[in-house]
Amino acid sequence: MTTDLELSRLLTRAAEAVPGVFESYPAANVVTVIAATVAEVVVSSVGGAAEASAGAANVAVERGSGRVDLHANVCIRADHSVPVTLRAVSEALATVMAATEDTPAYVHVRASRIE
Amino acid sequence: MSDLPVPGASVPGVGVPAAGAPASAPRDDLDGHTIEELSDYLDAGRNPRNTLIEQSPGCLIALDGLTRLRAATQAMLAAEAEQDARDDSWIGNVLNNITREARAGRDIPISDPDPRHSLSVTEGSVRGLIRAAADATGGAFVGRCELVGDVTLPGEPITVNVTVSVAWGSSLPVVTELMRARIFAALALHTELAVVAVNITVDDVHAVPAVPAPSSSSSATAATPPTPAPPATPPSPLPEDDK
Repeated sequence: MTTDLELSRLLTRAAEAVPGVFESYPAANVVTVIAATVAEVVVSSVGGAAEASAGAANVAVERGSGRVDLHANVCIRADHSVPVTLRAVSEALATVMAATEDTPAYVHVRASRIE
Repeated sequence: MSDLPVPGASVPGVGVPAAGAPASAPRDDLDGHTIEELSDYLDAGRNPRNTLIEQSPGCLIALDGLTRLRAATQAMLAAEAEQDARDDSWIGNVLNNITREARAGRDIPISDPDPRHSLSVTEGSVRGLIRAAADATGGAFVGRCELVGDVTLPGEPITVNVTVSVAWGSSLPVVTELMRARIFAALALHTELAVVAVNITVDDVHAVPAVPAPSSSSSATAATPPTPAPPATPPSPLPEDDK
């Protein structure tokens, strides 16, 4: 079963793989991300399946009212067009979601920095 | 300790900011960090790595600005210290502006054909973009940068106001035209803003470091700043009141 934290990691990798994306940042409050990660590690430890961090989980996954809202926060390379890259990121996230579950996904992507 | 003066802080070797220098920005301006902390972090070579700083776009934009400011001002500071003409208040103001401008600010919308996709670029990142484009002009350095108009509404006319310090002896028309062209180009590539004007105000002139001259060169030659190349493409039509 895929948890939302695992889903977030999957989405983060997809976003960062888009040409022109320099890096991503936590879209949710940093404290929330750390708390979620710690909680997962604790649960995994109890279950005997503790594993090292599987990468950043920077894409926020919010569920409610029969829909999923994804929030991504990225840095775009200055030699790539921000609008073109943002559209590619939103497309990449939507593609991952479509392959993962049937819930309608609303994708919010923000360029917080241009490198 | 930082190489650069920070408002309200002493700076070894280069005096202290002028008495009128503005106070430090509030502590939470950059995701809980001050410009002084970021300056010290830069001094330490960003080591040990501070995850909270490295994951904060605002902090990273401010670090970018600090890095460029240092590169641009190190020689300038030395030259002005030699002439005892140093005015730290200008640099203090630049640091405060970097802090203020690095904040995310308003979300500037980017269009997407899919109604379930919502895209935006932060005002802070656009101000950082403008600052980087202008600083790259050579012979000038940005003091303040602002976007005037409702950037949250697509198609709304937006004016960019920039204040700069220019190296003594530079051609102001050449430097400002090149800077204006770079800013227009950067905004056209990275945003969908309807930019109607880029107003550049030269509000300071800084010294140019003396270059060790060859045996027969005159001091006048050594003091001449590099002349920026003309813009590759002509800038867009500009309002008459542009400086």
